[in-house]
Amino acid sequence: MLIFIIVRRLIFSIPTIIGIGTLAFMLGHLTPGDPAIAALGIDIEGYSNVDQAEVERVRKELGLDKPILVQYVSWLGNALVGEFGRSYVSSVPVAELVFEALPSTLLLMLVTMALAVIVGISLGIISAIYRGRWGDYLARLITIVGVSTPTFWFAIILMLLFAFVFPILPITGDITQHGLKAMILPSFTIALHPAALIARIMRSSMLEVLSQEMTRTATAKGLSPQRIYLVHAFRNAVNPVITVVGFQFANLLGGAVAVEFIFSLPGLGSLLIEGIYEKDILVIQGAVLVISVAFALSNLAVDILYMLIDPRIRL
Amino acid sequence: MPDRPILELRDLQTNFYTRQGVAKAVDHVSYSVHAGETLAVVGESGCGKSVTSLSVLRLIPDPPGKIVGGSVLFEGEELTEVSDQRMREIRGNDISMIFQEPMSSLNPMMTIGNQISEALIQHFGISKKAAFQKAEEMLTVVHIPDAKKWLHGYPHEMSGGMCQRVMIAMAICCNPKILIADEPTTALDVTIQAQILKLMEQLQQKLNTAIIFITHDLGIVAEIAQRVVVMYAGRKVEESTVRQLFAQPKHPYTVGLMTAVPRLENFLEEESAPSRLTEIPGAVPRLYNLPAGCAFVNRCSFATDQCRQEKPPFEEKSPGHWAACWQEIGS
Amino acid sequence: MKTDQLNSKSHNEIIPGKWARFVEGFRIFLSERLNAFSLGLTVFLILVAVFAPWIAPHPYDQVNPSYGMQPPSFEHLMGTDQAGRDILSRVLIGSRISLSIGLIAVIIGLFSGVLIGGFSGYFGGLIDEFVMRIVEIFMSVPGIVMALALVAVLGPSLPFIILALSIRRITQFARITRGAVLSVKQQDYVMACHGIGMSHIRIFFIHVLPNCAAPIIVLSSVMLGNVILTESTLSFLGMGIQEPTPSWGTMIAKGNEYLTFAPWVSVFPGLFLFLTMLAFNLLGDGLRDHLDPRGGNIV
Repeated sequence: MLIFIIVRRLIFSIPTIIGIGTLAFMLGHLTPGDPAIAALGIDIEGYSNVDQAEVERVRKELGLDKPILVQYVSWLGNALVGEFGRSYVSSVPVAELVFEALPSTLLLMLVTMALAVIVGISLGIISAIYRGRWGDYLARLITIVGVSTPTFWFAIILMLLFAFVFPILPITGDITQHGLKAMILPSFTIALHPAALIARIMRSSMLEVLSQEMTRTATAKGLSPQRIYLVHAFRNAVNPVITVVGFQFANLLGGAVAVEFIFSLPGLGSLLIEGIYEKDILVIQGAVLVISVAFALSNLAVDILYMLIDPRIRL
Repeated sequence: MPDRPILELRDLQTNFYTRQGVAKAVDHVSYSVHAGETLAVVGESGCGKSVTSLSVLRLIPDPPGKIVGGSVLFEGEELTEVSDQRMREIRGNDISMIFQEPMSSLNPMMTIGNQISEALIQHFGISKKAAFQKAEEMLTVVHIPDAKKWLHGYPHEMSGGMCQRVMIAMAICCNPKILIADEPTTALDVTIQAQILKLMEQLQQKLNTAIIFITHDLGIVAEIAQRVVVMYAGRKVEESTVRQLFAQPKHPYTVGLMTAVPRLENFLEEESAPSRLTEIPGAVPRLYNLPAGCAFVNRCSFATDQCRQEKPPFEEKSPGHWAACWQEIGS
Repeated sequence: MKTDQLNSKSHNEIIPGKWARFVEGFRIFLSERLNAFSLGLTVFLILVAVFAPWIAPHPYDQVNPSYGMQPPSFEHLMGTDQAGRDILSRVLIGSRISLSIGLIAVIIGLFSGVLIGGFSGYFGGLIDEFVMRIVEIFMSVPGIVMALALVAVLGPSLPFIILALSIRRITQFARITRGAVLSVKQQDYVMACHGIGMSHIRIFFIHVLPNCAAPIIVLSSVMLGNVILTESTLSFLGMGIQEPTPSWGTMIAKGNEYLTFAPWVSVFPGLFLFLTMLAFNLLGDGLRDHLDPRGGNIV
């Protein structure tokens, strides 16, 4: 039964993924001027200097001479098998660039998410248990400051503090050079927002559960506060947090873009920004597509996880 | 009564501190219950009957609630003053509770078996395996078919009546000396209601448990209790044996409660039944804005100026029958 | 007789007018110290933005190369940047730009999102299914990625920046409004409106939408902070407001290059950005608690 639901959910996500592809395709055609010229990475101002034969060649190669619908279908088909064209800057296939950058970003995401979940949930629980006392106020202060701190600015401040004032951590996020230590600053930076959000959801969710009748039952049984908080309340309160964690993944990927760039971490975000600087349309398309599909898939994973965790949805 | 009561409340006061002011949810309430006896506490919702019983086990959410005075004596031990540790030993072990909403009173994320056995593990320090065995036994006691299978079931898979049985199993698994049942049948069908009441009666006979039965339904009181306490607006307004109460209620509020209950003899009379079923006009007053005199004065058809100005004392109107009313009702 | 007395008494209670109720609600809102603080901070930041040209001690674009990278002093309270421009003045003018861009983007998002989501939820059916699919697709692209990609292909001019920032707001407002409309339209009083033959348009605008206001108001406040952050990030990455127009993001990016010896260049604009976000987030929180006392996660 569960398998059936999961399969159904998988099938439902196909239109979304195709939709994202459509969005990425449209992106390439939004460029003012000729997409062939854009694919060559040349500004509109430089239009007259372009070698027309070269443009024609690219036009043919990209299939831009065909009707737009045909282009769309063939682009989508190619994209689905991981064929995004070649970067005009390096002539390397975009797919290769994307899949080189992917592991780095995924590792960063995982470390960050783990950090955000652990810190966020702990802060939320502390806040709920010490409701209205200094522990709660402190945890809430951390959360509100966390939510309000601009990520890229926080990156700079952390860099200033831990790479220059107290030079204990590397300033770049390149793990090939510095090992996992390189992940500390970037992941702390990106984890700030999701940790704060998770903490607030956890807090309100815990408080909600603690005010429910089931908590009174547990207390009336003579259970210790530890057991009530950490077994009964936690288990019930954590479900909405899982949904938030899923949504946060998008923000994480978004936050990662600037942060990867600041820490020169060779991930998807850096790839996207470099693509933007070089006006490398195909790289931009590829990066946007992969980031978005990764997000859609993570949402799917969260849905399935949710079903596995909550016995009520398992019907 | 021959022996010493097992639980005795003396002038218990519980306040709720809200934005609108201080609500005296329990205002100098005293009652006691003996082993093997069933005491019914009756009143409309919001009259403080639940808060009183929650105060016994110190389950009042603080803030906003607080026990501000009086005492709760359990076998001579002052429960308002014992340590949290000692209180936890008593909860679920010596005194346990059954709540009104069986569905929401159970943890939806935990199996039935785990929920019953955790109290056993907590109080008896037995192994999980032994606790599960005992839990299965308890489920059989409360007439749940397929007890073994249900140990691994979740509350949402059960009906309301079954959930309430699980609650009862949970409450009695440690052989408590006192069982506080807070409207345990209100959320259930009438047929299920009767089964649950019967079950509680059987268990009481077997374990000699004292039961405090909180309800707004006088029909149930007649069936299950020996003595009755009627509460209104946080105060006790009448106390007597069930027999005396039904024969001759001494407080207008009790009279009102009784006429609000459909009775067979009313329907048999010539007049059309609905006109005989009177309702008490108005609603329970807001607790932070009580009238100076008797709290019931605005809804009472016997009210006089004295009622409006002075609080009636709680006095013995006839042997064993106490009421707080200036008027002589039903004599 | 007693009953009659009771009833007449409750009828005689004065029913407060709309304005009185608003004032009362506002008073309760402000009685929470944190709300008073966040509203005060918001008003302060808005006043600063409005009067920036008159408050700023120096012209924001006055270049003075021989006076570059000066640390904070009495003359330049936040120091000067690489071109010797007064950072305080640039931060103040920058707040004007950030706030107005944020406001415009949120207003665009609000109106289009509420209409799209509202109608979608109200009429339901295939259109709803279709609209929600589109929204879901747009929500799958992280906001900053979408904005970056759009600005990259369209070019970093002001209308395109605002467009890039609004698109995501439209989908967010649409989603929230739809959810609210779905629950409101099942209420009995809406059914009753249908029963007396009221037109859909009237029911939608007079009876359904006003009752969805709470989550929309809360979202607006949170979104304002959010849009300002996204705009700053765009500018930080060089894809937003272009020099010499001052923008917090661009200033922080510039300062990043001189971080080790002139940290004030990026610290102060960042601090202002932080304060702005803090104000709108706190305000959003306060509004959420005030409008939805159950503490539900409406956003």
